[in-house]
Amino acid sequence: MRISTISMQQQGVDAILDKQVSISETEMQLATGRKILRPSDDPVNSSMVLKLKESVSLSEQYLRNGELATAALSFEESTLEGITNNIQRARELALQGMNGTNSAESREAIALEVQQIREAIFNLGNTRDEQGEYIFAGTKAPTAPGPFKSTDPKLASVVFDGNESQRVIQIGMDQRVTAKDSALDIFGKQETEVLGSAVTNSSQVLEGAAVAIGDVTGMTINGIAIDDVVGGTDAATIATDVVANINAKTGETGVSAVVAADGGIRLTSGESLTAGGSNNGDIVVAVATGGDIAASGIEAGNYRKTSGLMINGTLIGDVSAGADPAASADNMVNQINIYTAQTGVTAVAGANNKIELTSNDDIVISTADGGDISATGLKNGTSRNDDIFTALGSLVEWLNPADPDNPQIETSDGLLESLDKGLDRVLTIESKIGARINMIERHSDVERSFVDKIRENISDINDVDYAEAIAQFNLDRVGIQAAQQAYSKIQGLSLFDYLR
Amino acid sequence: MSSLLGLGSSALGAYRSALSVTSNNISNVGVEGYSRQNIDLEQADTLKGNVGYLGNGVAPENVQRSYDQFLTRNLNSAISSGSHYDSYYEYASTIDQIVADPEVGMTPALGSFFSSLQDLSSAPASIPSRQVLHGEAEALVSRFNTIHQQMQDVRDQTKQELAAIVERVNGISRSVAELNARISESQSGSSASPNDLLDRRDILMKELSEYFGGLSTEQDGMANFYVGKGRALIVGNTYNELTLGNSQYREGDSVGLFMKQGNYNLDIASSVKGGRVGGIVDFTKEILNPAQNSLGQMAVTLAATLNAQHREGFGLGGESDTGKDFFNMGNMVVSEGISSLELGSVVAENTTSAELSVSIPMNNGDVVVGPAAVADVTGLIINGVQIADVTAGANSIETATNMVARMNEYTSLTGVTASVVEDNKIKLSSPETITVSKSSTGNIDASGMSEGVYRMVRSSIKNLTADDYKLSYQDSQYTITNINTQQKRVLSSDEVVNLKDTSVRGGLTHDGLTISLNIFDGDMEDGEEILFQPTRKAADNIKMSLGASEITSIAAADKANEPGNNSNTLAMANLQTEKIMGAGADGLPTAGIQDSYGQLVAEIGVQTHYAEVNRTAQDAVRKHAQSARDNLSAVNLDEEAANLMKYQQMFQASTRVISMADELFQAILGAVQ
Repeated sequence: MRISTISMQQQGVDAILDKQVSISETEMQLATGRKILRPSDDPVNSSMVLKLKESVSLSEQYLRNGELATAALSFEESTLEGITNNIQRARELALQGMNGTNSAESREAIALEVQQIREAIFNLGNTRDEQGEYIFAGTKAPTAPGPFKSTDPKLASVVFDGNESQRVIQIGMDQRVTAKDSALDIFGKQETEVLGSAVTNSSQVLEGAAVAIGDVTGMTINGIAIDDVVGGTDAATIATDVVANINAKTGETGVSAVVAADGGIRLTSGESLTAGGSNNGDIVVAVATGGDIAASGIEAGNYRKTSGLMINGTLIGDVSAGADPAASADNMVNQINIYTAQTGVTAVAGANNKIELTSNDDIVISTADGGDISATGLKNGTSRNDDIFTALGSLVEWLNPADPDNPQIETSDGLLESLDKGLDRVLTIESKIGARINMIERHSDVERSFVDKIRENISDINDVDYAEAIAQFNLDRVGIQAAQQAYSKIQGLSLFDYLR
Repeated sequence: MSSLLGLGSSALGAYRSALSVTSNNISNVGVEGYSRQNIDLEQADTLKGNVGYLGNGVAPENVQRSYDQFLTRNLNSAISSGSHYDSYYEYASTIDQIVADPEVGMTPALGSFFSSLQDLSSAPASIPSRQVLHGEAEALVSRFNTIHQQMQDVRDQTKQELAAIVERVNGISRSVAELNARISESQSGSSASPNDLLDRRDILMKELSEYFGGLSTEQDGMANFYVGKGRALIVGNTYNELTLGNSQYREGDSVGLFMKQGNYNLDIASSVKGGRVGGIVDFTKEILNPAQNSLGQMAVTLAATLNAQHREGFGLGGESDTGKDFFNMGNMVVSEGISSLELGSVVAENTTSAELSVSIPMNNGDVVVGPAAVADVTGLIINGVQIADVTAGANSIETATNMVARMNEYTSLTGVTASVVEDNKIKLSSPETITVSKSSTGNIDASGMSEGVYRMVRSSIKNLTADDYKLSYQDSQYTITNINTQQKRVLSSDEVVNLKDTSVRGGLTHDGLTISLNIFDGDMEDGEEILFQPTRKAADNIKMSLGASEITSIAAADKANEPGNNSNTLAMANLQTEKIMGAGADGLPTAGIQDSYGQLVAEIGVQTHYAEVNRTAQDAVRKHAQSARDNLSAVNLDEEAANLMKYQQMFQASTRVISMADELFQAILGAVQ
């Protein structure tokens, strides 16, 4: 076995070089404190560390969100406390005022304080947070003085210019918390909803036309002339023929004709037409001049299909006529059930061919263009305001009427109940807020301990164990010294030294 | 007597030669690749004399070098493998550092961006929060651009190295060919071997092995070298020149390594193995291309999904402050309310016969269907399929539910939802593009239909891959090949019709892309291929669409005129963890944006680590091969010193023979006088 001079040299040098690389690695580890210097040193752990760091940063963000949410909720809570105190004071005053021994002056004085309380609650309703947002405005941004506005300095009518949307903040991967509550939940609803309205039924279908036994001429349906009606010996045949003609000429298939008691032919139509506009549904029968339908036979029909009724913005179609007003009313209710989900609506036939609707929930009734509900029939139902401003206002009015000869509030019935209701509302929300703050706190604790655990993991993977590294370093140092020594010793050996 | 002198002088000459050979060995001890030489001493031919056969002295036959072809070839192949892993590891670890750096990689930039979105959700109307979000978004975009550029720089470096290698290799090839000629010339006459030329040739071949892995053979004393799939680089006294150029796909990033074969140039880039060139080729294919593609895919997915969500929201400016893009991906083509996101990098072998456009479809609609909410709905046609049996329910909402159920049955759309809006209309919303029409006898009100809200087709984004594709035409068949997975799909005739449909809604869908071919006449040419790299340049193209002066338009709310509304911000922030990419066979997305980046980092890390392990192992193999060769062929000074002494003694002995012959002669002369 032979070894060349170059090989020997190279081996010695290589050994030293290797040791140098090794010691330099260890040095880098000690200096940077990291075990993994390059991602490729340990690819599996490197990508795991990346993922863990993402988790940590996500959790820290959630913690930050939680803090912001807690701050907002605490602010809201303290505002609500102020409102609660005010309402309680108003209640005391109400009890005091209900004591029959009060004189007019003392009642005036109490009324004054109640009015001040009302103003205080009004101002609290317009509270702004540190960023200048109105905390009770929902998601809108109302102009000054705030979501609660009144043109009357005495706050006779308070208008709410916000909405009920609540802001949701994400405090965990799947955890969201409501950070703002709806003002209407706290202060009560103020909108005047139309609860009932009367609906007139103005039908345009003519019925009861007296038709001579003979050819029917001059009748037009929807503007199309219905000729070719052959006269017959009895009204029934003529009636059938009329229908056939109407089918043929206008395409209307929902028309039926029966012979009325007085010998006339009554036309009824039960289907809505697809006419590309609003649902009309009525057949307009007109008499052309020279026709032989007796004008005097035409009289306003009975209760017919109603068209154009809209409840909460949804058009109620197919309200067919019934045999009598009650049946029409029933049909209307059925259709309302079908087209909206409102089940609490009742309809009764009222005076003058009107149908009255009443509802347990607030509904908004309107008419569509082209409908045949007469607008004049609509009248506001009993409105229901149960907000705190109205409640306080009623109290003031009762204690000290604006116009002593014509007091608006005559009894104190229900005044106390309204105040209690107002107080309950606020207390409910306060307890909800308290619960939410607790929930955020608990969740934040979980997130914090999660973050700590992960940081520990990252450190285990990533950070160098100094004891181990220093031991390695010493070993490398000894190794490199040995290699260098060995090299220099070997290089000194040569046969040429021994030749003369 | 004379023969004594003759004997002496032959010995003298021989040993003098031996001494010079030994001295030559000693002088050349430091020369790389030098093979030590030995002198062959043989007995000279004998003559029959009267006392029998008498020896005639010593004749030096030849100076041989200690050489083993097997050991040399072993060494060269070890060098090739070693260089392959060397260059692979060098470049791979650069990319590894770029993507995995915990401070300046993509991960911290993405984290900060989403963090600022979360902060905005706590204070949606706050202008400072919006400014911070805009700033973070710009930083994110810039990070995408920078990392893409860094990768591009590495690509340029590889090209430069290849250029330098090609020049050097051409020089080596020329020298080896010349040496081959000279060696064969000098060997043709005699049996003497031109050792220095042989050594020089060996050194050149060793250097060549560093650059290319290949097969070297010897034939008639001439060394041949073959690369790749048996292509001859050097044959005898000729060689084939190499040039660097663009690959068959013009304007692509792929580099072509061309070997001159007669009158044309053959691209051998894909068949080269081993050596630095093999390492670079493998690195480009396995690490650089996927890295740039994945980065691009991430950019496209983030931009497209965030834009889609952003467009649905409202800024602070009221009803009209909606529908704005947040990021700009470049090449957004909008027409007729339909938009498609064009993706970059289409390169064709020859673009005179066809133009390919590749995009992600980005439109769908909410369509509002006319009244008839409570009656049976007839005449509804979705995507050309009649939806029958839509029976009325007890109320409009049930009818709407029935409509959706029937739609699921008749088409395979599962994402459609229906809700009831004013005027008894049913509104259909779909995450995919659907075409809604009505038959002539239906009871859906035609006037009730309105074009829906512009939205992105998530079903496409989630199907996007980070692969390159090839459309080829051969024997009247179109084939789409996924270059990375080598999956091929031959297009059916219906699909070909779709492919050639260049109208706005036309095109073939494949892996989240819409591909349309603008053929000027007929079909592509037989054998023609078009390469497209949809996401290659996306990370470079991504920019901000919403300017710094438009931060009030950042759509935090999901309703107009509600500055405190943060619903849209929450939805956008959710995209950080929502699964929106990597749809499997069942169509369900499996990965979020950060997941997919993490996967890229892990893969590159593993490849690089593997390369390093291999490099270390190969280094040991190379060292072993080198010392095996050296142990045979290299000089050992102590041995040569011993030889010096040996030949010196022999020389001295021979001089003694001559002086003795001279004495004898003098004695005879003295005797005769």
